[in-house]
Amino acid sequence: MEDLRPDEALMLAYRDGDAGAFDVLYGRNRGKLYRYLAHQAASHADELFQDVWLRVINARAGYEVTAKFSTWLFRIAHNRLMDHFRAQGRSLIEFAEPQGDDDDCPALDPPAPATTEPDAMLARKDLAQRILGALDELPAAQREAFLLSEEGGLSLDEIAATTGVGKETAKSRLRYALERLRLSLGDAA
Amino acid sequence: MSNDPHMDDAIRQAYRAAAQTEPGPQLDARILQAAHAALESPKQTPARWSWLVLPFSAAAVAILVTTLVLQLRPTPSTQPLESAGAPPTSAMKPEVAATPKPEKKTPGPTAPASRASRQDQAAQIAGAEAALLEQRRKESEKMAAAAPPLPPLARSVESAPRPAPSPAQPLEDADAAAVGASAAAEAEPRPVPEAKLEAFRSQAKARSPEMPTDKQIEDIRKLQREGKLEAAKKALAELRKQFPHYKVPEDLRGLIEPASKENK
Repeated sequence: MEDLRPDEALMLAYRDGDAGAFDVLYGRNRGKLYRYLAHQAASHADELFQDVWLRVINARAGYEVTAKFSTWLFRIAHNRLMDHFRAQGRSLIEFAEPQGDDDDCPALDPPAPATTEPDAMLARKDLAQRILGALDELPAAQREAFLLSEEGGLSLDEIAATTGVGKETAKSRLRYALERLRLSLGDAA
Repeated sequence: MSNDPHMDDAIRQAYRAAAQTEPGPQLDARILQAAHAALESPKQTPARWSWLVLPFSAAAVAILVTTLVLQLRPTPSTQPLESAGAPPTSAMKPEVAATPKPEKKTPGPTAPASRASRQDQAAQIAGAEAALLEQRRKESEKMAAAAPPLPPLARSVESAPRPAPSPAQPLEDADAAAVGASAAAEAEPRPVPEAKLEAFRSQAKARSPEMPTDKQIEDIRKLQREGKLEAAKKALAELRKQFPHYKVPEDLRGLIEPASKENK
């Protein structure tokens, strides 16, 4: 029988000793979280994924419902990802709040000429490959904004709070991410 | 979000269709195992023993306090020695006077006449002791009145209890058994054999002449220091009358009248 309790109730139940609640919670969020990590640090996705869940497990005693569970979960994931990037020596400037202008996205290049195929319909597999390839090509901050919205289901406010930037910046990042993805797909989408 | 909402939806749908990546079953198993293990471990350790912490702590503190109190409490053997040097207080007098009482309770094989004579002797001794004490108290008061007022520190010293020569002093010379008996009597009154008491008193009187108090001597010294030689001489003369066997200290011998110097 499917457990209809919201994620927050499941986490509270797990905090209070209900191991089954964690199984349900994990089943609901495992794919989303894994993809969020895999699209940003593909080669370390397993390690990061496990670390994030272990942090959830270890933080259960102090868990209180102050936000959506997904917001809490993806904030932990974001912080772990930043730690990972820092350890890798990768600059975090691209994730930081832009100075002066909330629209931190460069001007979009003109769309590449769409490859017009005779059948005018891309196969499903081709579409998947193209959109995932376009996602990888996005600037890190835009990609994260898109993944938080798409995988985490976070609102603009929640994305802003999770990534530590203003709402307008988060909105700008998400808008440019979608625009780039649309342009990369061209007519195929 | 972009200019064309329908386009955004198409992109999202395309992404969802493409993104099917998921963690492997081994990774799932590890995380679920860790989650279950985390719930089991904390239940066992603190909950089982935490309730014992408070009682054990309280017991340890109680034992420590009891041990300290027992260590710091004066032992019964020292108390009688202190009281031996003190003047015979009201607490001691009844003890001496009451010593014949146990004899009444435990009549020996002696004749009633000899028992009555011993009781009379004991009463006489007790009366003599009381009279002597009264006389000494009056003398002390007289000397204190004759002496100039003491500074505050000296007054506080004067008011403090101090050991004084007394009929109890022979207790210092008594054998250990007598001291032990005295100590036991303080804690729990016990009858003392009359023969032993009698021997003890006679021995004490013979061996230990009565002595003036330190205060009396010190008062005379003070009079001497202050140049009140007449008063000092008078006080010393009275003291020597009161305690004829008392050996006058070197520094006070100058106050002795020439006629009576041979008595020093």
